[in-house]
Amino acid sequence: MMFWSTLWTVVFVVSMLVFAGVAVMVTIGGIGDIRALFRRMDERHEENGDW
Amino acid sequence: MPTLDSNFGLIDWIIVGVYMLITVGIGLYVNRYIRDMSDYMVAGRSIKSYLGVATMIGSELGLVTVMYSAQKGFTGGFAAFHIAVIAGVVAFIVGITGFIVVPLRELGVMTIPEFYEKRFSRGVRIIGGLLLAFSGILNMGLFLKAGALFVTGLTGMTDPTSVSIVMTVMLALVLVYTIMGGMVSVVITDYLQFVVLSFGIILTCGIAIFTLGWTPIVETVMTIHGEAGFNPMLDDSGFGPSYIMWMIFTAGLVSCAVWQTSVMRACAAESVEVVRRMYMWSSIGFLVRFMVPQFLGICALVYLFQTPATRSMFFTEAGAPVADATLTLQAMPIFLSQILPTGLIGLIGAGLLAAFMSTHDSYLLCWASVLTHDVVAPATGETLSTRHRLLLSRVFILLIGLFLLVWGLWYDLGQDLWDYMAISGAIYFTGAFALLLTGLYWKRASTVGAYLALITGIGAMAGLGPVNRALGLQAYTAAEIGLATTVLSLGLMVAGSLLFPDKREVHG
Repeated sequence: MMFWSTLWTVVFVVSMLVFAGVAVMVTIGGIGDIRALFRRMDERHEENGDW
Repeated sequence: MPTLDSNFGLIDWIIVGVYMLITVGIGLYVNRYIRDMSDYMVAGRSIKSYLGVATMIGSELGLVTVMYSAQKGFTGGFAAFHIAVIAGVVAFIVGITGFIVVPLRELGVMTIPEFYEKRFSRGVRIIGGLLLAFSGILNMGLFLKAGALFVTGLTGMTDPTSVSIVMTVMLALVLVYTIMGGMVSVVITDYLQFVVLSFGIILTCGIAIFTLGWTPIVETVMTIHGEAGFNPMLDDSGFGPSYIMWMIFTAGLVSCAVWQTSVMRACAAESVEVVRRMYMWSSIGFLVRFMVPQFLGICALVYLFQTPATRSMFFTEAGAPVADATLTLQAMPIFLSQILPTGLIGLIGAGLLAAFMSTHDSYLLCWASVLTHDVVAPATGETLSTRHRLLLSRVFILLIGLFLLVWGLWYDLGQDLWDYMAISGAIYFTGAFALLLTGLYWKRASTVGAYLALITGIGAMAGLGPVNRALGLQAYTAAEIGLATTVLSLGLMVAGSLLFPDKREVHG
């Protein structure tokens, strides 16, 4: 029992810390990606003469 | 239906309302970017790594995931964490190896049935598309019900009519912005949801631990479940070796590499490198999306056990959790309504309701696209214009939405929601796994084998509660039936391919 409760405690704490780091990175990086997404779609439509 | 005074107040309703309006506004705004099916289904294949990770996690960390995972935590204790660990580890391995998802992205397909046609035949694509849509729509059939139970528990609403009205309004909002904006609106709203929910759940876990204390949580789980609340290998944990095998396949491989909604993200990625990065970074999301709600379910178990007013509702006289699946689904939202303060509960509620909408939009878009792109279009000889395909997809979204309302009202769950979802999804993915595995990595895989594997997958329906009882198969668990169907599909795929090889030469 001790093994399992220790294992799940460690897994939970480490996962939450890593996830918090990923959440910060993705939140900041995602803004730039949204801008790039709109820019690329605009460019693609202009190339195809869709407007 | 259990009720306690909820901390959910007027301010929280305002927060939820504003959040919903912003979400719908985004859907309407991005409609201007939709010009063809590629824009609508895979956002013009222009999604980069960060946004890819956000939309992957945002889409998969839905309210329904939160509800069924919390239920697993409530009924299984810490032992349920094995599902989360499996999901994270397998997603990471898929990211490193590119198993299934990289070859699919390289082929440039938008859906898995499209791959079926490239590799096997048009007939396989149509049958595969039909099965995929049927299984997928059945799989999301109880999403509305789970959402309704969440709203009831969180807000303290007791009138079932009010709940139905709220859910209908929410479904209508989802339909509006999914029909209008397609994948572009889906990824943007997924991003918004990812931000709100990621920080919201971290904060919620902190408050839960602060309220209950870590050591009392562990000790109470020990009191209620004993060692089975920690060790998933024990049969009386409700899991056991066959369940763990089933989870490696479903929560692990299928949910990230075979399930169409995840594969669509890979197909929408800008490049193969982005696909690999998305999966490696998203692996922590695949883990957390199960683990955090499971933990909140465990906290609900502890809180409701320690509170005299709720102990008799959720536990038998012997101190074991009740076997009522609907009741155990409500435990987590009721717990949140008790420990979160006004304002924060509105933000968390808005995030989770956004998660509900996010999952709905992804799934609605996915199944409607499959029906249009992989069933109707090939069946009519690819003569449909882009305008007609977009119109048809939007009509299918509306029809699926109506089905969800009806199915959610009358289907008797009778098993844990997660197990219902795993087995209803298995109708598609047991066959699909055989086709993907052999189609991508074995040159001798043939069309006859593909048909046999797909049709065999229907056998997974025997794992659904009412079907299982009607067939008198109660001696076999859903996990055992799912595993048996998977092995049988794969076996028939190989046997059919060896006995009836394709005449045409296969390249690549």
